[in-house]
Amino acid sequence: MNDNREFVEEFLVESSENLDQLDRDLLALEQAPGDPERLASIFRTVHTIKGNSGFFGFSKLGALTHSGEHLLGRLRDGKITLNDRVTGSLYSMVDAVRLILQSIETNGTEGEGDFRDLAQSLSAAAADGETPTDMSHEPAAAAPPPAAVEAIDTVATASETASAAPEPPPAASAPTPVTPAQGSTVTASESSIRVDVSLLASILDLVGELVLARNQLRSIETEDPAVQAVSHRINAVTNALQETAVKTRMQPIDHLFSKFPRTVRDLAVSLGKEVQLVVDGADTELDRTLIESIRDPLTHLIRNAIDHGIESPAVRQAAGKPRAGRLLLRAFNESGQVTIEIEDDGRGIDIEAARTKAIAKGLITPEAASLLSADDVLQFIFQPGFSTATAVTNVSGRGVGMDVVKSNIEAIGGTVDLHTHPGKGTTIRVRVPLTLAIMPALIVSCAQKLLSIPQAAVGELISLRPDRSGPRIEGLDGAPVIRVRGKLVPVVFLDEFLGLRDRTACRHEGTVVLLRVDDREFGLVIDGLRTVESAADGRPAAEGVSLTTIVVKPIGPLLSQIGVYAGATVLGDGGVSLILDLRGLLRMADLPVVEQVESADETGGAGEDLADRYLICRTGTGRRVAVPLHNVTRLESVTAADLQPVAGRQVVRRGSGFTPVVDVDSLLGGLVHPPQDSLQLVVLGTPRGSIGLAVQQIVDVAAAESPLQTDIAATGLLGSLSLGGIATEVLDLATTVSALPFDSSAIS
Amino acid sequence: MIATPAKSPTDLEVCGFLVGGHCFAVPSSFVSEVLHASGITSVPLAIDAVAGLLHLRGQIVPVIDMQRRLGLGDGIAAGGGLLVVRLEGDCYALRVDEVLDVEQIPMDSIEPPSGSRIDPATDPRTGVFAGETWLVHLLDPQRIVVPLLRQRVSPAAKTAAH
Repeated sequence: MNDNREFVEEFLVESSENLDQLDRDLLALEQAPGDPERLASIFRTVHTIKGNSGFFGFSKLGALTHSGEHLLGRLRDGKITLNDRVTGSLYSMVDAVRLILQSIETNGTEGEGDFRDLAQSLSAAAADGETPTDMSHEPAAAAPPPAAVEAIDTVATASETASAAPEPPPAASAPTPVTPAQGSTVTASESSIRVDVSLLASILDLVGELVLARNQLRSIETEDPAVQAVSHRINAVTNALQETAVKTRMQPIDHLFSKFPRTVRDLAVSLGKEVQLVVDGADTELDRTLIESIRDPLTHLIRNAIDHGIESPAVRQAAGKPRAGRLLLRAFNESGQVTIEIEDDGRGIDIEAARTKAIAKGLITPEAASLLSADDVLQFIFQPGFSTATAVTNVSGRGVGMDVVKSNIEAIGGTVDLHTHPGKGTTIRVRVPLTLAIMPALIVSCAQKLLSIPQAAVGELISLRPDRSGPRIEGLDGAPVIRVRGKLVPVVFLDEFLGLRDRTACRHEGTVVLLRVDDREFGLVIDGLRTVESAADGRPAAEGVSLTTIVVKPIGPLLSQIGVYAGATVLGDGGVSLILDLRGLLRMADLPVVEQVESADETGGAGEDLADRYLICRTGTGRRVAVPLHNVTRLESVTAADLQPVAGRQVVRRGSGFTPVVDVDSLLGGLVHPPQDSLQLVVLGTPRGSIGLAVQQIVDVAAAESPLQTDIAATGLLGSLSLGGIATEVLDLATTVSALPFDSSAIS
Repeated sequence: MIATPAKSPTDLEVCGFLVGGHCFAVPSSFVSEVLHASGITSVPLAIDAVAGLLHLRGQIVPVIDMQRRLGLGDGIAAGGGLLVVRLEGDCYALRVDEVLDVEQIPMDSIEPPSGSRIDPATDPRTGVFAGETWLVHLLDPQRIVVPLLRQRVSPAAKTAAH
């Protein structure tokens, strides 16, 4: 066996490809029973596996495929017709063969499985045709004679010998033009070789080295036209080589898509549904490692679409739709990324059911839920533990999945979004990068260091001007934000964050890179974009220079455990730039949650009086309240664990002292929400010391758009006014804070 | 280098180096190359013992400052040498004050590390032997690196970021 090891491995690889082909052929055969090309292709595949198993002495495999071949032979010869029993047993045979091959791969033996029953049922199915069975209910199977006769005719004309004697290897019929599938396999095996992936990786590394050498060559100034010509040529060849080397990692997404027809068929059968799968763009190419990482998420989305989306045939007919649901799987290239769409024409997602469910699951308060748009409600589908299915099936509906799908896709730098039309269907769009080995990135400078930011997350760049005209960072101390078209976006000073400089030299200089990660938007304050190396005056380069395609190199566990670097890349001059892991950075920066609400206040100008502006917050129970901004000294993000009970009140430790904390809901005499994992503290300066108001979310800062209405004053409220186009309650700080039964100066 | 006739199975080939005035050695089977320390890129937020990273023919290699790792100094500011060691597929560069020669030493001349309170989880010393001019501490490269993998970013760096 050891001598055969190499051949066995080749046999295994080839057979698993053949089995995938078999799945496809069987599905096609179900659509067009008696198709002679398909039958011939299936027969050949099974025959090849049978022949090889005999050669290697795999007796179980031999016996099983022999029974299968016999059945297929009778089918091909028109002795029996295709019915559910025949297809069922053929599918079972494919599964059994796969199982045996897996066992051979892992331990070199055929395993413990007993397939004699299956072999018998294959033989029984083969004998069936002699006595007509009552199992055929499909219209195609019910009226088989013409198709079958036609089939025999075609085969007969194509190759007399094949139909006359079923036993000899049907490879004899291979050269006939009626077998496009076989024809393409032959071409593929002749024009491709199997190469170890690590070899491709080292070629890519060497090409990277060559690119660096090329860059150094180009930086040498010379007047010699001969050297210039060679330099040009090397430049062009290196570019082409790099492009080609990267392509070696690419595979058509068909490698993944080709598995789905079987998944869809099996699932549809088990759920009693009819589903027509349409695949488009299977030749779209994607990095092979990424194809692996999207396999599970896509499988899950397809199962979901069939289980929850597509209705049963009766329901569909009642709704005036065709009996069979249509599931469209489409892949295409779009702006340097691959987009995969999964579209069904099923019932769609019931927005109101989702809203009710979100409230029932405690994900949101009824008041807050009623304000959410349909798109916002759909986002709950990606929350852990959320499922709109009323019945739990063994397929899906257990509420695990969509959150995992989303996080798996996001882990490889992709996005998932969802659109639904109730009654008409749902489209899920998955976008993933072409490859993780190279990516477009923005190279930025920060305290003399060059860092790379994956371009996929970059929204826009905002220049800060020292004269404070234009956008500026608003100094809510401890929680800096920038206002972008009415939205408040939290910002992180990269130099401070990385500990590169003790304090930001000036908070009003530099560039803000607006980023979006996992639906959260934040800004990263940097010094500028990478400067052109040769520029003497050190002016930042144009954007086009900083945006480059970088080769991502792993940095190993010692550096990746820091949690803020996704890798490193080698720059043109041989220097190294660390690639920021934005998700990790966001997690570590622990930014306050600022709800992204479009504010009507666009003018929000520099000269505005602070006294007219309010900080809008959402409380744990979903109330929208406002605090005059001039009372606010800072915002903090705390966890429930940070709160400590002292003298019957809650406090949070700050340095050597304590800041007492009051929940806004309790201040308003309402119910206090259950403790949340993370809270936002609005710290107020009062004559008696600072006090923290605990809220769930900081929404916005806005100017009052109406005078204060005091006629609806209630406990703890001063009244209400219009902020950002919405009536908002204003807290009565003077009364409430003075009413608190403790003196903060006593504890600090 | 000592003139030994041939590598005998009872001999261990080691690569010696100096850190903070002490002499150390690692089995040379771990060492893939020796370089002058230059072109090291610093890595913000990395633990103290990590001096930065090095670009080595397409590969990114973390640099471990042996003065800090062994608690023998505040880090090597300039110069010195790099010993590139390979551990289970990952490469690490050990930054040392000076790289010494490769020597063959008889296995039976290696004694247990001096001082009985060596914690194998954090201390990389596995033995000690008398070199020509120095007392040489033998180190296990695995135990130089592995304890660092458990350490997290120092909380001070994180607070400073706020």
